[in-house]
Amino acid sequence: MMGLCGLDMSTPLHWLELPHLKNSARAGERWLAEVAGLKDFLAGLSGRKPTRKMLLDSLTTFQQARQTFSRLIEARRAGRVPAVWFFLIANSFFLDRIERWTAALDAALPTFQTQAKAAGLVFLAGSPIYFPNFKLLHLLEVAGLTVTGDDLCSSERLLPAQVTMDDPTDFGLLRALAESYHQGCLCPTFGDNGRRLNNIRGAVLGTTIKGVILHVLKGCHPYDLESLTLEEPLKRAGLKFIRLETDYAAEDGRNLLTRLEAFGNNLENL
Amino acid sequence: MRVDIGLDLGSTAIKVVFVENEKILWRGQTATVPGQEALAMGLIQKGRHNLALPEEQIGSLVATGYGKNLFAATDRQIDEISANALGLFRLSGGQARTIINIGGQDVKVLTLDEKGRVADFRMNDKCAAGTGRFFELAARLLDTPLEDFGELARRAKNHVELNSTCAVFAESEIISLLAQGVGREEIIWALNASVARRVAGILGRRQSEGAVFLDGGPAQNRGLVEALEDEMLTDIHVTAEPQFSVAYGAVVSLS
Repeated sequence: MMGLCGLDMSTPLHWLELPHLKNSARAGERWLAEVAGLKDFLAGLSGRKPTRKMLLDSLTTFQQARQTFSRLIEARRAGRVPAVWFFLIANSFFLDRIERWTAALDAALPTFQTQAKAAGLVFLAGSPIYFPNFKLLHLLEVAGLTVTGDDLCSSERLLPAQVTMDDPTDFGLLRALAESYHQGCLCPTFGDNGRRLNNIRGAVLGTTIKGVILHVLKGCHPYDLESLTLEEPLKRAGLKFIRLETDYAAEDGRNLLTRLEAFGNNLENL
Repeated sequence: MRVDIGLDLGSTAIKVVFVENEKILWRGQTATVPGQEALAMGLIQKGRHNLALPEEQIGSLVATGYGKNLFAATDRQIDEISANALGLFRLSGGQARTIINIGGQDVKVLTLDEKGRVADFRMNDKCAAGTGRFFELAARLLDTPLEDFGELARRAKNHVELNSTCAVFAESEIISLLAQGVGREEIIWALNASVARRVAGILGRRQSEGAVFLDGGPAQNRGLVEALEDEMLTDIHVTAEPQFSVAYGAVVSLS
């Protein structure tokens, strides 16, 4: 039987109600209840009751992945990792077992060498970029721009925030897990999200990055809606800003490239 | 004597200017069709022939526009937004602060600082709404040359509304208006007004500061200039041959 969005409705489906606020105790409690409900659903589905040790092991595994990934982020900032490689490595996280991905990245990190000094350093914000739709990344390279930082949920934000495990009980670990995906998330779907702007400011101001590119993927509207709230303050801070709306089709490549080339020339004027 | 050549390989026309000491000695253009490199080379040869310009007096050749990468024999390439700013700022005697460029397939709005540098710019997305291509389509439907659009718009007795600048939907609207017996003059007036609204939309909430210039081929349509003045409530300036300012800016980038 086919049902909603072409899904086979005989497949067990569990709905998560996501909170729209972060700075609200009520939203946090509701989200915790949702995560607890998901835990019960998975336990029923698999026939395995998650133990405290399983949860602790999983949280530790993610923490290790995050620590290793942070070293990759630093390596890119230092100009040792080409932008497209960085995005490919980040994307591969979704396709591999986390332990194997972390071990492979750990082994690869020392091999990254300092690249030739890059010009046109930019920060890429906005909608996620998933392989094979690397159109924008390719055009950025053609335009002579180098992404040295980003806040994409497919890239620098792919792992949840660091978990504070100060309460080792079942409930304490579950709360820590829930908070890492709630308080630590910078997705613009949240209404009270000043941290998104602060995060970009923190990553860019005082560095050699002079421009911010906001990638708006058609269908990923929250980034479009937030563009004005980012544009004005970032420009006031002396940064160049450009919003690029695009999709998975290649036909707007020339149009995008024209804008990126001009944006790169603008950065040189700073 | 050293003459530099600016080449603007646009989506609907290829433009060439020969420049000596900031002065345009010769300009020429041709429609863009397959084989752009040969077309551009032909234009350059024509210019050289008209000026009786020997090889040794040719300085640099700078290419810009969508097709700039298709022309191999260049000394330099520059994106058309930067070239537009450089060219029009120089042609306006340093007066231009806002440039509205309507090209064959895009609309750009540039804001310049007091030194003529691009402070900010906006451009339409992939849609060809309100661009030169849109006017060409309308000209075919109305069986009217583009150069007559300005004069005909002035003769409009009634103002009708054209709701869309989308090339596809506008075609249906124009055919519908023609079927209703609405005159060409009124439809052309409506076309200009709808494009003016579209341009104002790209400009967004920003107020235009300083002198506003319109360039690109459609800037020769006086009716469009008047529609933009009405929409933006400001004077719109147009240089003598607004379709050549980007090619000229390519040469200015050498200085």
